[in-house]
Amino acid sequence: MTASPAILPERGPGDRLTALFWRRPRLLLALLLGPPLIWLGVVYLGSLLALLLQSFYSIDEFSGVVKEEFTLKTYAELFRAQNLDIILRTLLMSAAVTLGCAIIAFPIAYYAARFAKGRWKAVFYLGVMLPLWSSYLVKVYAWKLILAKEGIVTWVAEHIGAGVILNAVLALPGIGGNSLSTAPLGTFLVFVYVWLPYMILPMQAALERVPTTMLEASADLGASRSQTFRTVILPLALPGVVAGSIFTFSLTMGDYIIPQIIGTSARFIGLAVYQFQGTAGNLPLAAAFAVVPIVIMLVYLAIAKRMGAFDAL
Amino acid sequence: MGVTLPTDTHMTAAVEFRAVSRHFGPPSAPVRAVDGVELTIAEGSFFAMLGPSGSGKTTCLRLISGFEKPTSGTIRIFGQDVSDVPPNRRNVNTVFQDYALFPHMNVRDNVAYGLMVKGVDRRLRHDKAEEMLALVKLGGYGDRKPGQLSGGQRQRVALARALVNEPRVLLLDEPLGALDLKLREAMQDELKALQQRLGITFVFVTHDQGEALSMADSLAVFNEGKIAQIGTPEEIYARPRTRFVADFVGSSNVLPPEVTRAFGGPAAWASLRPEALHLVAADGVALSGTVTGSRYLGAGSRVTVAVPGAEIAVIVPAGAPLPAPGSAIGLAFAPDALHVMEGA
Repeated sequence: MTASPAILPERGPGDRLTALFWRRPRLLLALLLGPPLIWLGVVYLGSLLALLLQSFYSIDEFSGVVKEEFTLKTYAELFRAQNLDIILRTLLMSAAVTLGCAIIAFPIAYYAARFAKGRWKAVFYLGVMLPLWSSYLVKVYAWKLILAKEGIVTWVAEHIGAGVILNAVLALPGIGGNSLSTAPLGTFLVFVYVWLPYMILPMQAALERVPTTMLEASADLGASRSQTFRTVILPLALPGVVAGSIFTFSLTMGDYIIPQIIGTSARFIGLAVYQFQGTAGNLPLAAAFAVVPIVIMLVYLAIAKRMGAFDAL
Repeated sequence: MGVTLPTDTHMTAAVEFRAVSRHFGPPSAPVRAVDGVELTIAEGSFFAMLGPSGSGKTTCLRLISGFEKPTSGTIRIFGQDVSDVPPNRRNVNTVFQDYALFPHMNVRDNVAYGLMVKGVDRRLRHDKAEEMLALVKLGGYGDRKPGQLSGGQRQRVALARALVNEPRVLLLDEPLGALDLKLREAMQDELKALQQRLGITFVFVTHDQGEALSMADSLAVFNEGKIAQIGTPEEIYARPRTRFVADFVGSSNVLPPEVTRAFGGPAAWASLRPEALHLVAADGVALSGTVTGSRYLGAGSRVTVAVPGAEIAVIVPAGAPLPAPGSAIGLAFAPDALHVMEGA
């Protein structure tokens, strides 16, 4: 019997590379992390900083040329009544959309995480993801038709005798309008529809991580269903809810297409940025507007952290 | 015939199962997790449910806590039918296998949880929680999070949390499974002492026969959803009713009928404890075989001897000479050590 060698022969470049990475584990880490860090650090953060820099410049009101001198004048402009209006409107809509998404998403996510198994789980994923497969613009225009005065919603409402209710809702100041497709309520509905998957998926992932025994332990110790929900499920699912709300909140704040197509055409932050940097050529003001969602998100995350949203991470 | 639990009329039954079954899956092809179980657990006893995984012992525990509903049959807790009582209204508490501590609460709030949901005010429930933590020797750990504790400490927190409600029955689902051997043995002693001090009924699920035999006052051995035998540890160990019990509970020798005959018994399955056997010189004895190996156990050695139709284990006390593998050896035992079992 011949003994096999203590060290096996090298089989080629693959083995040599494996040996190199085994001797220098940090090299592999650097190779893996390098490209995304360059992308994120240089391309993304770099352009963000360039944008921030722009916001400290101002525009010459007569010539329309950007003056490259440090000033806070552009930021002061944000506080003009018409601009403050845009910020407030966007903030309210983002908050409403986030809340709406959370309320609709929770039961769906809960069902998927707790009860759906096997094929039903696949059906759930398909159902949630399916709307993401079609073009965003197509969906928005489809909704414009659905919500139009001649659309199916009005038609159904009239045929089931709910036309009065629809008209009463549309007559409400602030959220109503001529028809759903030209009312802020319509903007809200479409936003909720479009961003819903981004709320459901992180919520479902968070709920899935709450072990069943934890719910059983709660019931075992005497808690009712609603007590278990408040003291165990919600705190443990909160990171997921916050993650989802970051998506819906920031996506709503940055969107400039839906408010253009559906609703009163009153301006939102995204639309303001789009118009100021494009047609108006006021890049500093556009940049200052772009900073607003970033600041709001930072404040939002700070509040969420203080409320203990990330304690269960 | 195996001996059932003493049916003393003065003793209240803490838990009773009457023809309880729990089937899963479609009625056409049910999985009988629990199948027609009859069980009486006396108040104040330390009762163990022993069996391999999938034998129905954990399902029985979950039937008591209310996380499973029986497909048929009746469960009574202290004489009251609990068929329609949800888990949160049953005065029984559970120590879960994975402890199921709430990760977002500190140890004190975990222990006080049962009182919190009952609406006991903060100061009172925190005092009570500290008292319970002292009982399980974790005084001063109240501010820590479960993630900062070791496995053994988490196990104690789970115990304190289950005891804070002063349940009449405490259910323990393999609570020592995740602990290493030394900690496990220490916890076994502590659990037993705690049960004797508190005097409440403990129902303990385990697949470790040593644990069940050393801790329980009485135990039920489960197999395929049915109870194979109920009795005291001594009864189960010395007089297993079936081959399954003998195989599962003991390191006992299980003899097929023809070997039992050769050993001087009737033609039936029998068990023979290794420590009841002695090694003697091979010549001139009725029973002899060939030594196939030996394993050192510390307090003695376990020698295996091949006889026609079986391999017999013999415990040789420490200090006694060990026969060489391959040598011929004789076997001797007291006639009443051979225990004949039921069934084929």
